[in-house]
Amino acid sequence: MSGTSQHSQLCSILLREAYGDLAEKVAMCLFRFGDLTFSQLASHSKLKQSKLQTVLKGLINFGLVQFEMGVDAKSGTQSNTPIYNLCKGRVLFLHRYIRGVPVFIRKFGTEGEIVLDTLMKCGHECASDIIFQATVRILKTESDQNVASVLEQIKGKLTELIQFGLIERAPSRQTETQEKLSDFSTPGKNYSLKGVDLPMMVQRISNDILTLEDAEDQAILWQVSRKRVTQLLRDEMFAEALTGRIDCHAGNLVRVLLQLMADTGPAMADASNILHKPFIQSAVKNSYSGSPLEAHLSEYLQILSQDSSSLVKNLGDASGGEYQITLKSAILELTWSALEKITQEQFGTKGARIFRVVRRHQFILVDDIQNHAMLPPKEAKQILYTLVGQNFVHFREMKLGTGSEAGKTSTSYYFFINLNQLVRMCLEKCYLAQFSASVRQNDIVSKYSHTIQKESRLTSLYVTLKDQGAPQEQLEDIAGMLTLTEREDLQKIGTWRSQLNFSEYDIDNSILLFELYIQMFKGKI
Amino acid sequence: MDTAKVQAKILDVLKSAPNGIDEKARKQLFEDCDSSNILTVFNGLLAQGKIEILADEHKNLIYKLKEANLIPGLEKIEDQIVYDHIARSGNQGIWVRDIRTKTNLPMHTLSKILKQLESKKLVKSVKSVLAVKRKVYMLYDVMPDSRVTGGTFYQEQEFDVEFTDLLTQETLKCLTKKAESVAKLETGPLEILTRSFVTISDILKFICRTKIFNVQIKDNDIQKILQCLSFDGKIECSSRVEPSGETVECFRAVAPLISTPSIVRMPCGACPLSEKCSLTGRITPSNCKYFTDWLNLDSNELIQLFFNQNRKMSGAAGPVGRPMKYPYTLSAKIAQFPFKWHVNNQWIWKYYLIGVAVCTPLFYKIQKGANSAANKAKWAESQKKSGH
Repeated sequence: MSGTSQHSQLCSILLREAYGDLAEKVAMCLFRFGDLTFSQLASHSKLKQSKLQTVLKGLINFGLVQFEMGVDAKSGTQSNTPIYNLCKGRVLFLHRYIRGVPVFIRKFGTEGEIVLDTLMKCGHECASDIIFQATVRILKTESDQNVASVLEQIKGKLTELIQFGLIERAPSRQTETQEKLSDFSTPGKNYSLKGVDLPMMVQRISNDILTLEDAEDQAILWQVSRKRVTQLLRDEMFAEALTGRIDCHAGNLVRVLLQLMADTGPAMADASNILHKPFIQSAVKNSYSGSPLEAHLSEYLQILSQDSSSLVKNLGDASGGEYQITLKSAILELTWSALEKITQEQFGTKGARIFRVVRRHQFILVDDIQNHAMLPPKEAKQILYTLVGQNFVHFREMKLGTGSEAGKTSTSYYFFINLNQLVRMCLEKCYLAQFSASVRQNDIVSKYSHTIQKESRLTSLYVTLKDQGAPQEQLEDIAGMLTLTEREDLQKIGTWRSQLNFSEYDIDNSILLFELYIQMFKGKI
Repeated sequence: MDTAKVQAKILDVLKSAPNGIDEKARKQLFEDCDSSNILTVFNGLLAQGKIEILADEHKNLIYKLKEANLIPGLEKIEDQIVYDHIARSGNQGIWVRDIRTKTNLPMHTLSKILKQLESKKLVKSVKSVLAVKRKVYMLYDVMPDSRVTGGTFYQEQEFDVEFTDLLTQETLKCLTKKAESVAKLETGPLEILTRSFVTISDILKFICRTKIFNVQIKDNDIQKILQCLSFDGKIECSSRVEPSGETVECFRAVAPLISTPSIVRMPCGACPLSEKCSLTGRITPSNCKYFTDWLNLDSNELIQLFFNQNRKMSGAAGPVGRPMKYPYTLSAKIAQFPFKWHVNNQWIWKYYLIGVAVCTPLFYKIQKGANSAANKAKWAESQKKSGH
């Protein structure tokens, strides 16, 4: 992942908003200077050692900072000095997680989402604590529910989430200096939580003790799996694309196929293992029994394998049909599609047409572009030069001998698209857009701080007086203390903030696609 | 043999040999004639431009009858040479610079000859679409090649944007209609997909049925339009085997893989100033005008703004068509006059009603007073006194 100024600005603002100024200061030191020891970090951040310790502890707890033991330069052996480094992907994961919330709710219900949210707020936590805190949260809103059944339900959801891989093991507090993160593999399908004492929790909640101490499983910590969340959103992205292209059943089939790919091999591989048709058939039967997808599975598989999205490849007819998920080519196609759409939005349909002509012919002369794009020469040139000016299309100068006279050359300009560079550029734009949305939102809040504060003061006063049983007239007086202009302003602020918030999280969809492209084709960049 | 007879014999021999005769054949044919006389006759025919002397690959001289000689009214040899080159270019035509290179004639002489040939309606000049400022010459009765005129999509050597756009729309309409009608069928997805494909002849039939176009549209034209639509990402191409065993290309309308990437749903995604945007300086997210406009819009307006703003920001060219030839006609002036602006901004319109409202009771009062019985009597009395 890149460490450009746009990326740095975005990380800075996100860290400040989520974890405060001190955490931002320390994390940004690690962002700018790379791996640092504790003393180096203290000198760069200019913080007291005790304060720095607290901040680092918090950052490690949330998985934002990792550390490993350094190597002694002279002897080449492992030294006792830990070296800290910032996990940049984890910073931007905050946005990705929020974008994934609707998917989590759809897949695991509100309880599942509450479990994930509780864990996200803690960073990493033991199962008992997660269950206890999630239950307390649910009971706060729905107090009439049976405590034991809620606890059981939450435990079930946690197990389901662990089995699905959305929650994974985190390094334990005692052993984190010795063990690496990779040693903590996700438990298998038949995993059950041990050491979770539900009767004790029921007792504590009944006695209004809302904290849990000395849980049996406190050494086994859990965290939200960034990889799995990304994978889930990636699957959704593909499913949405094929839903738009074909229909919802094709989208569902893509979900099933991508899940099968993750079950039978590495989820982020260039291509999956061979999937036989009976295997796909049984998976479809489990998930979408009785749907048109089950009835027309063969047809949908044929359509997908013939589609230009290049996601599914038909390898042969053995065992009723052999299919493979070609993730790499599908990501490439999806990236091209996104870039073409971006070009269309920015330069119009004709701009997108020229972009596609250049894409299809790889190296092409301006005259040929005009012929293929069916545009007047002047207009075609104008749009092409605008595309070149905005770095969407690149050109290379070629000097060719004319043949008639020795030493005489003619210069031709061949136009092409540097995809890697273009993807990087668009990714930077995404970071900048998220940063700008965040800055604008802060600006709106600071500009209307007086009105927002007044509204919050009046609201708290209103609630207090209402609780105290104040007369209706007095309550109406308080409600009337907000002028019409202030009410309009507040309404406007609310709309603006929700619009900016939505856009900020929505852009993560493009970021995910471009990051997946870079990850898949990193050998070429 | 006298000179006239030799001349007639030479012309007869050359007429019977369309590829001309070489030096050896000439010597054999005219061995009974005086060689000096023969040479004088040949020189005379050359000067008259009736014959030409060429060299073959072995550098042997070939005597040949000139074709241009058959054209009446071309007396000068230069005229004939120029005419000859133009005739050889066929329906592709020849550029004036190429004629000059081939004939070695000075430019002003060549221009004069060309003008003369044009006035005699022996040749014509045609504007080539390959180069806007280039005129090519060809024989008057020759139909220029489609590569010169540009084919169906060009009118008067200019790209016909309106025609091309209309044809593109109609072609896409044909494909979309087919896809929509097939989607309603209650069959399997593969059947729907297969039946949504349309061949070029089907599209041609659809377009002929609409009767929108006056010109004859050929398969090649539709092929070009389909290629263009495929570059727009609106259609995809496939091939199918007809019952006759012939493989034909077929096309269908497709939806894009990604409708609108999230980055372009925000103004930053298409902002040309994004490189200059930072927390400090003239361009910041806090004072961004595009952001303000975007935030103050409701969702419907937002889509429209995106479209307009993105194009404005990127500096993409607007629609290019043929400009109005006479934009300042009286009717154009009336049509373009900003009546609304003047009504809104001229004080006279605003105060006219107020003036009328204020003046009406005043004038009414004056009128009433002037026409009252007492005043009339007073007026009659004063008239009487003055003796009228």
